[in-house]
Amino acid sequence: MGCCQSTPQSVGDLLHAALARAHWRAPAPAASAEDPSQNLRVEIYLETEGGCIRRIDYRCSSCASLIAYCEAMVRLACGRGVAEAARLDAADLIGSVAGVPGYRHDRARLAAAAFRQALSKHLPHGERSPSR
Amino acid sequence: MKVAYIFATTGHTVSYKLGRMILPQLEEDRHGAEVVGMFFFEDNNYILRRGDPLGERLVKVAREKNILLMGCDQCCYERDIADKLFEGVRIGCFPDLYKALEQSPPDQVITL
Repeated sequence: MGCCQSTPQSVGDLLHAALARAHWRAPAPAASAEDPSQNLRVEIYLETEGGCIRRIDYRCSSCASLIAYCEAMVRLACGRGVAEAARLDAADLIGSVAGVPGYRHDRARLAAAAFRQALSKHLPHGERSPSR
Repeated sequence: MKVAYIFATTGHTVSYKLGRMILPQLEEDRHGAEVVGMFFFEDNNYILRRGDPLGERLVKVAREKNILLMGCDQCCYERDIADKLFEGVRIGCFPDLYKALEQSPPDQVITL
């Protein structure tokens, strides 16, 4: 899988990529986030080594927009340092996925919340900050 | 009777059944049932894209008669039109459709 992609990807391409690849699962998720009002959930699986993200993946509800944002998050995060990746937020996700109507941007915020929660556990104490 | 239409098949579903039967009847107030919603799959979503002449008429009637118009989100994403639909027309999947129809539940759901 390509890492650190900078050009916006289409939801269609991200969905196809998400379906086509094998997903990695750790024994337990590093973090999760929910939107009970819409029955949406994201789990993040994370493995770090030497301050860098070694492996990251997700499991989420079967919502096309949410899957696309989670897939984009993996592409943005893989290979980065934990501290650098922790600076990624919902705006970065929204900017990295083209063609999503504004009323679906809440999916990016949900994915980003789970992602940042997972990373926060791997940040050095001095670099931990409140969630955005 | 309240009905909801699901345009599931491609071919002449939109251009013929909707464009020549349902829509003109709605415009003339003689459709015979209260339409509360329409959901579109696959290529049928192109009618919801801004600038589509048939879509212009459909959106006008939908606003007047408070008819929900919703496109299948995955179908719209695959066609790269999700953010190019008429104002007020949303994309969604079954949970969104059922939630939207809760306000005015149809007696019959007709799949075309």
